[in-house]
Amino acid sequence: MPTSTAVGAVPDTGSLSALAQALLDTASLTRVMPERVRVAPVEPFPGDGTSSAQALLDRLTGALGLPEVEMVPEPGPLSAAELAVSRRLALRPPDSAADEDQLEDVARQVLTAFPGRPIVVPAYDGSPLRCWAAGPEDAPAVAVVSACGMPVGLASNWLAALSSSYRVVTWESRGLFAGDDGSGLSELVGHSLDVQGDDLLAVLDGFGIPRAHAMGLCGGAAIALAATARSDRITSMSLWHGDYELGDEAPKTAHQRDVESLLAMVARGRQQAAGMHRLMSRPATLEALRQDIAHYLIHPYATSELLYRYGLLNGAIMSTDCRPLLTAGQPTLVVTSAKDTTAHPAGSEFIAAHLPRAELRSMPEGDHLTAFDAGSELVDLAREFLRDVTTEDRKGT
Amino acid sequence: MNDFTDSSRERALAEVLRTHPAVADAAVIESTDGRRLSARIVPDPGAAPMLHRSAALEAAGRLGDLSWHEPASGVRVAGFNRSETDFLHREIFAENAYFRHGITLPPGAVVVDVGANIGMFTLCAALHSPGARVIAVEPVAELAEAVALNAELHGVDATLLCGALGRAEGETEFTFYPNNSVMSGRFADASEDLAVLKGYLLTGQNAEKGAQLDRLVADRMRAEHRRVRVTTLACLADELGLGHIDLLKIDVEKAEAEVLEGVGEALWPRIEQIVMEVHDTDGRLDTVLKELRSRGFEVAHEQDPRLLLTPCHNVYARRPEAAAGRALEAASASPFDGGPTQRELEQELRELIARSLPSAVPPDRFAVVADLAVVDGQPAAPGAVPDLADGSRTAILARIWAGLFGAEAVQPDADFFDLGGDSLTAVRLLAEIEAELGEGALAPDLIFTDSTFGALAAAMETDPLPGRAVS
Repeated sequence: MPTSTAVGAVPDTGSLSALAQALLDTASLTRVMPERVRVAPVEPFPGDGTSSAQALLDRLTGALGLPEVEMVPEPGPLSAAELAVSRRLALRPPDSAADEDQLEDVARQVLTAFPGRPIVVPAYDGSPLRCWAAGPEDAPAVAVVSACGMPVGLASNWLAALSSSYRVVTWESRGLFAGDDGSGLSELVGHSLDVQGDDLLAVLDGFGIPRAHAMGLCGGAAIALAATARSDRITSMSLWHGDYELGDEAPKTAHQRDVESLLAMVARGRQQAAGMHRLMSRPATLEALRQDIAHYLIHPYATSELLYRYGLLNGAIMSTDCRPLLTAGQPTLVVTSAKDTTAHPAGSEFIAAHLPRAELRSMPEGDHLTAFDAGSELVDLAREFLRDVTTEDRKGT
Repeated sequence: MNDFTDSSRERALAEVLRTHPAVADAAVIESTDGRRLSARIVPDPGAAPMLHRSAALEAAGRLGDLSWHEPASGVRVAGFNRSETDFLHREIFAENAYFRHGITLPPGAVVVDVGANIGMFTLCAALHSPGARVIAVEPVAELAEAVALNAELHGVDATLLCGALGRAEGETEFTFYPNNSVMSGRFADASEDLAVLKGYLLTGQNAEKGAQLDRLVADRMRAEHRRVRVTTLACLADELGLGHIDLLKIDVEKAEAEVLEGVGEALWPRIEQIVMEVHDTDGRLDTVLKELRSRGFEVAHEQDPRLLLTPCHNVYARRPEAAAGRALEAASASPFDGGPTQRELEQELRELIARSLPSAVPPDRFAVVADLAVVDGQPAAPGAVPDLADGSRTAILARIWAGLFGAEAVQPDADFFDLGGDSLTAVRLLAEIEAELGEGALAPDLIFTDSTFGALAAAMETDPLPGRAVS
């Protein structure tokens, strides 16, 4: 449920490397949309600039192994998802032909850059999970549980911040991301909160990690809670700006209620999701999203099939009563902020008060999405807590 | 105080409704909370044949993702986008855009309607030429469904080809604009089509401006790409055994020259009249006019003043020796003779109740059904309340609208998006409407195709099953 109205910067370096990175960063969208994604430049290109830019895009997507995109002169007819891709690409006239000579090398560098290519791990029901791992293999493990439907790019700040000292793993939600091989979306087998909690354990199995700290962000907090309640392999937790269903015990924000309504509507069936998808495809939808990460945030809304599945998966996260999960005795850090108008801080306060070994940190600043930014204050807080709860792990290794 | 007890109130209302000649049977049902009444009307096949047939078609599941639209008195058609149905009716019937410059129709005319959209011209031709045979060609399957449904609803002899016409047989890419179906075509070009749409929206009394224009354009130009089958007019005529064509109408969004190239030498002399829209890019208008003159036609052309900023022109071609048929006059008496529309019948029934039972509260809503024992295709339990048959929808919408935007925002021309509504506000609006009227009471699409309060309320009141409306 990560949404915000803050505005960030749009990268516009114009360099080949930046363009390649942007294409890879938007690949979750271009791989999953049924038609070739159309992209518009920042400003209309002069002369025959469009055709030469199209040729460059074709070469670059080819070298990166990504679906081709189609350049159009103006953004007028684009859907919200296509606009999000366009803004991330920030297309400007190519710098020089010399740059293009390096195209293959640039593509190779970008493909191997952090966090690298995914490793596919089977879930307990066989669903393929796209996973990433970083950091020393013998370091204590941290599993970053991101918000449902969010591409790995949104969690990469945390991976980068923690991987110098920890073995950090993460994965993208089941059934919501197409494979790198052009095979499209895999079947969505199960979608309950328990199934999604089991996915965390399956990821640990996939990397041979016996136990880990679970770091739940936004809706990922409920998944971390579900996994921790089911398995002592999760030795500690940190829950950041979590979104929990707690019955009458804690109020929800208007945003939480609206998203719940949306998820309930689209989860009724593909026809209902298609109708809602047409509404959500309006370009204006994009204006409600933080611009620098809009291409991540819009992913589960990009196609009607994704929206339907998102309704099932995130609907389960947002509607499953978390109160029975509050028996987990592992040490837990619960972080929120009174300024979070997306996920009501009262939910985090209730969780912290009822988990047997939880500590609440209410930050003076921080809207919901800042949890994903991994700013220095939050990273320091995470490191401090992780140091305390993983000392034993380090001694044992 | 009401003069009736609850059960006798409903019976008495139903008895009054049954006295109307257009009503074969009726029932009045109270909502579960006891606050609202809804009437279910089975139309009389003799006095209200159009409503009777439309209810039967809907009961048979034929309406699908289409909706019933009533763009004028006596007119009921299955349509895709309400605003486009209104546009097509105005252009074809009210303004008589095609039957000008001597274009007429003899009785029993053979008409080929290329680019039929929902079949408005097919209806126009058939209803003005008794015994006409119309061949309707439409590549978009959803629109072709509407053509078939409308032909059946109005008893028109129409042969439908779901495909495109071109210079040769084969397959082609086709761009479908779901929110702007009239601009769909083989040669759709995002920037060109954008300019045409902007030109249209910037011209005339209701010119759109600024953010509203940009929003409309962006919403309407969302495209779906498909592949469709192509044949030639010559092949089509051979296949259907068309000895001659009294009128060939072409409205195919930039593919018009291709259609002419597929006519074939043998068929050209057998075509009496042509009326076509030409997109004048790269001198196409001149080329088409020369071609038609060289084929022996007298030609005229004109441009709708509302299309001055676009390259769209209408071309009228007729052979000098063509027998004069029936000239059609703009705004002449409606050729539709199927009895009242649902809106008209509802008005008459409200007046009837006011006269016959002046102290009774009339039903909030009237629904036309094929069978009182069937609700939404399912057998109704005795006394069961249909999901969508509750309440005064405008009043419910007004209450919810005021809750979102303030009471002062309940104005017919207040626009959902101009008031600051976004996707999640739309979700809240939908959720609150659902809480009052049940699931599927309003299609999400309607919020951006009919985004003013007035249009949305009208759509909700008029559409028997608004949840089915898809744009």
